[in-house]
Amino acid sequence: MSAPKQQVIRQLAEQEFASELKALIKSDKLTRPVNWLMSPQAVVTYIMGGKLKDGTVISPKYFGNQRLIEIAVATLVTDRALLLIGIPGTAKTWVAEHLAAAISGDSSLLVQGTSGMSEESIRYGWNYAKLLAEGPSEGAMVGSPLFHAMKDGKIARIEELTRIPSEVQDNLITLLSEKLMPVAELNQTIQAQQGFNLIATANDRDRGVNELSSALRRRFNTVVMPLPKNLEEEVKIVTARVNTKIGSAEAISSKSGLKEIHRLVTIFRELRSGATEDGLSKLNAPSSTLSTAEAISVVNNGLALATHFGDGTLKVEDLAGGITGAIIKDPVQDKAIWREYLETVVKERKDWKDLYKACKEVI
Amino acid sequence: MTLNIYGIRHHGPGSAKALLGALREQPPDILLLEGPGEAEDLLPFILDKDLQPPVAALIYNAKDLQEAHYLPFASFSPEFASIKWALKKEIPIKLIDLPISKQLGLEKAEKEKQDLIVFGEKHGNESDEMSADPLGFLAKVAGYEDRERWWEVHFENQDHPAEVFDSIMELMAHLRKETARTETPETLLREAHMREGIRQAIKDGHENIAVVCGAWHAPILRDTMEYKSSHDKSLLKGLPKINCAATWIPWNYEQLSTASGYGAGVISPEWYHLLFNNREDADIRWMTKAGRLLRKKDLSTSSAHIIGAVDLARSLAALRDLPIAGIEELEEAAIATFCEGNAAPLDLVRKKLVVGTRVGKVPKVIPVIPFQKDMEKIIKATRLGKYRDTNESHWLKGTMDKPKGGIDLRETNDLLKSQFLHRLNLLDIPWGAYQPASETDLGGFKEYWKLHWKASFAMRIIEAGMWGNTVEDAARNFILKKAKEAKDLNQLGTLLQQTLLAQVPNTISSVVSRLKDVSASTLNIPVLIKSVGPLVNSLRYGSSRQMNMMQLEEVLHGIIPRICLGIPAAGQSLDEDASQDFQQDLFTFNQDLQLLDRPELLSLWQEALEKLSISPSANPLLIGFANRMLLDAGWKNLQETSISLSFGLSKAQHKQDAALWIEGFLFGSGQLLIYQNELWGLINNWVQGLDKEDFEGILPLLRRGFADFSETERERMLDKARHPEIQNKIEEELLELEKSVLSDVQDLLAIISGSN
Repeated sequence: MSAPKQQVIRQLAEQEFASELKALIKSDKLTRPVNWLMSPQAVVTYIMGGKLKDGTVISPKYFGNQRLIEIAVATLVTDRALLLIGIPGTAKTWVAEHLAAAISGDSSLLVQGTSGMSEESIRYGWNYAKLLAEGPSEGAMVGSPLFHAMKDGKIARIEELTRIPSEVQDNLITLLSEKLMPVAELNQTIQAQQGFNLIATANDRDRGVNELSSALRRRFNTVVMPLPKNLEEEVKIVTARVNTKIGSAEAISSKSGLKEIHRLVTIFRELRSGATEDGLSKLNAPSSTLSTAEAISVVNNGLALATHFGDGTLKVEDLAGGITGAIIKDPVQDKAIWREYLETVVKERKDWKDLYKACKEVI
Repeated sequence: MTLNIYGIRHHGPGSAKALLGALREQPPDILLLEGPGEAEDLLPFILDKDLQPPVAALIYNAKDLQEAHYLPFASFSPEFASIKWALKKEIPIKLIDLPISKQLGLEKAEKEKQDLIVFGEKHGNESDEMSADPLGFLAKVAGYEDRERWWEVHFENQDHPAEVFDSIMELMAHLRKETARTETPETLLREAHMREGIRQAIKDGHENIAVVCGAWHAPILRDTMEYKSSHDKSLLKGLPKINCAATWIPWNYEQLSTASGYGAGVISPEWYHLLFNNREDADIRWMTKAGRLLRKKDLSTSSAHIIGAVDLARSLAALRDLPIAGIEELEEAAIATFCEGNAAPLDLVRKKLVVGTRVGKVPKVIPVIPFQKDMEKIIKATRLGKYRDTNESHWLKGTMDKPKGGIDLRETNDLLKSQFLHRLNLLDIPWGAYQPASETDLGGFKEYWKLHWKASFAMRIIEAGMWGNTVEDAARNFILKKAKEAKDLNQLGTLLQQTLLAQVPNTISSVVSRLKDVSASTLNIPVLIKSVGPLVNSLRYGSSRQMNMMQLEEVLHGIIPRICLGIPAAGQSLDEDASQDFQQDLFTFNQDLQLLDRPELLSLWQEALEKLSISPSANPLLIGFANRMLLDAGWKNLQETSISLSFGLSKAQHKQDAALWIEGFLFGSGQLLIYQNELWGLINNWVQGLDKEDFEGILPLLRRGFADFSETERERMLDKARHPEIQNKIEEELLELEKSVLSDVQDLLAIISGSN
């Protein structure tokens, strides 16, 4: 294994896929909206993957319905903002990051929505030392990521929009409809440059927390991110994501590794939908979300175990603990449901005996 | 001489627009269309201002209406648009497809040969998807759901409309050559006939001929001169032929959108309508309509939303490299902007938005059959016209306050309405769904009707016209024929009910006398029992309208004694399932008799029940049930019943039988057990006396017996079993109840007398 080029744990999308972006920009002959790095069509290609005329292969970032991505990209061309909704782990953040990377070449203009957020995080704050020394001045201002996105005509992102308190959310309304941010202290107004837009993500399960006011809703086009359509698609997603994360394909390209992922995804899908894949029996669903992202982290966890404590190939024992932990979120109910699933479904499947044994051991 | 072949996509607005452009650019001196000759006489009506598409040309065998073809047209159908254009320019038009008379002749010959029913094929009878709509097929292969969009992308951007047709021609010629598919004999015949039509036009000296046909046929017709006329003539010679008549009938977009039967499989007629008539701003109009419809469904869709949605649809179209947004972009944009990414709200309005509710109209001057004229007269007289001119269902006389409306049969005009609608129902024109004021209240004067006119009635009207020239005559002939043909009591009972409701003079006696004959030869008791219900209803209905029901009374007096005499024997040696059915029959028979309330018949019924209740070989279920009915009717008192029950539950009885006895006895209600301590005690003691094994054995039966009781009934029984002392309480309760009811009544009386 060669030494990693960077010391960071995780690169930004525009760093990791810099060569793809470069190739796309080079070959893109279509019209680009002002301040966009590439045309909307090229953005879709960047997300969905494909092969360019010069032979560059663009890896797919999102496995799923291309039409959804087209709606998302088309929205960013209009003057309405984009809201991605879905249950946790449906690649909302992932898609948002890549959209920002492809459109503005900068996915770092990010605000993480929290319940304790104040409006400075959306507008601007002050460098108090400078403020005291110089009085209110542009130099003493500390702009939020949105502030910078507006000034530079870039895409800003807000994660978990519905976690932000309503009164802070309201700050977004003027920002999105008038495309300006008044700075009363300086008697100035920051006007957004062309190319500015906002991608927000929100969680389906959180809906009630701080639901968007209808005034704010109106500024967004909504795209619902679905769960993967079928088993094969989901296995593909998990495999691809694990591979990019690990950086080496060896760990799971082995046949046994793939088989484990296949089984893991099957379990997650079945428990999530409350029915076996063949549709023959009904199952109780646990309280846990069991998203694709969850499956990915279970595999990563298993791989870490396999690398450091095993012989490097992913085995069922490496996954059993992770699976159990992911499914049992409520110690009483979920445990009963998981037991029932093990006894009625896993045990009955002929070539799943090892999985049954491994899971029984850790429950 | 120039021959221009325009290969079109049936019902394609893009096709229609291009075709009109091409015709204007090079006006022909004759227009030939792929369409059967029989419809030619109908064409001039297209300019009538009272003819509003969608309409269909109905071409049918005047003698057998099962044989018919429909040719639907919408305003955006290329054929319709080009005919309208040519009529205005006074350019002669000829329909050169194989006449329906010959197509029907062929179908019939084929049917006789193969003994296969080929009725109900799509108009034109194209044999498969590709030749039915070759351009649509190509679009689908290329991955386009909306065929119009494929058309837009590939053909609409040409500068000269005529060039579009050149490219289609090339494409089709290539396709027909490449696939080298053997066409059906029918397609070959039709193409031969069309070629003959072209030759005739040339022979008549036309210099500039335009032919409009489905794209699939275009290359063949272009090469007309390469085929020998004698070859075509010999193909067409001696074809069987059936005499046909033709007329315009109204159609609607919903029918146009269904792919099966006579539909044309146009997925989104309303959108095509917009595209054809308002192409420049079709997306804006569509989105505005979507916003307004969703607003009615309580979604807050402001004008700003609509602007945003159009904006999104247009940028989506641009992203997908389309000249204009198609139905998919529009829907996706509407979902993202109006519905928060959730498709469900849009589904609610999709029918109005995409399929549309437009209903066509046909001018009154179109020749119609006498039956239809009579119908129109009645519709006018009864003022039902507005219910026909809509595509949705409405309650007759429904208002905001009384949504279900309702008519009063004591009013002359309402009575006429009722008779008319009932007669239409008889004749299989189910315009109105009838609902009596209540299920049992046939004697009432109120009727509720839900009216829903369907374009397909046009065919049924012509069919009904075969029965007679007025609605009344047709209904009478229909009833008389049905009565004569009917072989079982059930059919006749239903027919009698319908006849009474429809009030067709001089019919009832025929139906009843037929009923008498059939009942005399019916020996099966359950069948006879089942026939009593409708007859009793009919009798009560007729009597309440001062009709002479003597004859029916006679029939009932013939049937019921026979049933009563037969019951004890019929109840013998039945297995459990048969007993249960029989029990249900007896239950309804009892209700019917109580309703009819004729003392002489009731006493026969009592005798029958008594016999059944002591019959040793009848199923215990029936014995228990007979006892229950005797008790309910007061023909047996509580003491006598206790004895029977005790006998039924005696130790020597098989435990299974005893349980069945209880089930039959408790049929319907458990109130009896709660309030009659004596009976309760008997059953309670019996259950307590069972040993464990027996109890387990009959538990399922007992459970079934108690299953029908209401929750509260069962709870009270449980209480009663657990705490015997409650019995006294219940008795007290009963006394209390009696007292309170009594005082209520007294209060009421006081109020009444006081108000006086």
